[in-house]
Amino acid sequence: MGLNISLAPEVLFHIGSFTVTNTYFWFFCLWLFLVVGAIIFKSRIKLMPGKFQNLVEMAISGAYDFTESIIGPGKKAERAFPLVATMFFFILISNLLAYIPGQAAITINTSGGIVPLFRSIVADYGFVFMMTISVVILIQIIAIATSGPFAYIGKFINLRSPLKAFLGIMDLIGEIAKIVSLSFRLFGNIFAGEVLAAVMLFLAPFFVPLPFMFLGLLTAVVQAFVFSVLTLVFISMASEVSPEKATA
Amino acid sequence: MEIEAAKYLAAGIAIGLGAIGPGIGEGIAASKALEAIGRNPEASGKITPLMFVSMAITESTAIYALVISLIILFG
Amino acid sequence: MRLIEALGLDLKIFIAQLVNFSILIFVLWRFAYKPVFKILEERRQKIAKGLEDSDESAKKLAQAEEEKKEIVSLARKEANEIIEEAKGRAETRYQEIVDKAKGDLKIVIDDEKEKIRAERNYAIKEVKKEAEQMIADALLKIFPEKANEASDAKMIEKALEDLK
Repeated sequence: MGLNISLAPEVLFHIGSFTVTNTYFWFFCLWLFLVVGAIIFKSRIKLMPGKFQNLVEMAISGAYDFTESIIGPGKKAERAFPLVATMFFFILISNLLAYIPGQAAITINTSGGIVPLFRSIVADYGFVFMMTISVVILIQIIAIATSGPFAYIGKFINLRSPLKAFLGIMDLIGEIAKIVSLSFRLFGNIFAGEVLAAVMLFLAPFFVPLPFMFLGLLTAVVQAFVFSVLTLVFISMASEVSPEKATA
Repeated sequence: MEIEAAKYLAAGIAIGLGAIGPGIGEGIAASKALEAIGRNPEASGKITPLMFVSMAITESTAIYALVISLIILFG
Repeated sequence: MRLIEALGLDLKIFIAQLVNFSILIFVLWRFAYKPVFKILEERRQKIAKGLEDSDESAKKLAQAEEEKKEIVSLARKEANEIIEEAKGRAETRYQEIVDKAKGDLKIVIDDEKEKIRAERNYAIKEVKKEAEQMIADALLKIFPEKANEASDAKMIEKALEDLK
């Protein structure tokens, strides 16, 4: 088979001891684009919006309304919004970038062989893992801040009864499972979409991949949405005082 | 059977069987959500995001299967 | 573990992405979300203010309309009063003029009457004189010798008196 599917992103080049993979390359491009775009946007913002500003405003205010509808209005939504919205927009744009036609054909020759220049940023487990682990650590910090360190530890280690001890261990496993499920959901969906598209292109280059590409487009939007919504739900769950403590 | 072949076989079986449950579950979630929207179209704005979230959680099982098969293959 | 290697996890890239992503969140928050919220709020306030202003101006317009009506009606009333007054004044003036004219006319007429009377008196006097003369002359012609002028005159006078 002439198809080589690599789980890891391909290495493009090295800067000193720093390895630049194709996903990191695109991550950096998108990062630069967003940063510069945001700064230009800030300087051009007007009270009478143009078409582009209207679009941006609609996207941001829509996202904020949705955030409020899940986490509740006020300070909480304001604090959670930048993280969640940035994740959503970043994942969405990077997923949609994969559908620019023709980019899959560009390959470059490196020491490790011929590698494609383009790879969907989210199809790199490292990036997804980075986001997930930061989210999960943030959730733990929020949980400690809202319910206090002792109540937080007490949730996991409880020796009052065997059942409660067992439930505590299950909670601990659940926290770890959050990392795995959250990250692999996004990574698996996007990566599977890429692999599916590649396989279909390999088997039948014309017309047959189209429905799969549409499906992939849907997945790209839905997974960006699901990742940020789950993050939001986790944050909102962690920031609520647990019912046990409330009754006690 | 060689150990390498057994690994591939195990990975395929793991993800294949693991995908059955979430497939059924997501189908049920989607059908119920659509039913609810059909009964009360005004609530579609509230139902749709909840449906996606619950489907994503249902999907977790398939993701665990994926992780297991990846571990079998590479671990 | 081979899985980590297979997934391509790299600590350096991990840290770089973490740092970059944090910067991205900060930059987007600072340069995109906040300005948008600020401008949305500003626009909301401006629209609210505009609506308020338009309400107020509509109220003012209605008030002005009311005032205008009042003023117009007042002006009409005043005008009517003025016209009425003018009419009254004109009436009195007319009366005055007419009265004055009548008075003048009376004076003139009286004057004329006086004149006429004087003239008549004069004429009568003249006629008397004339008549006296004529009678005296006639008597003188009839009775030339018995002419005594003084007594004649007395007599004539007496006769004339009797004639009267």
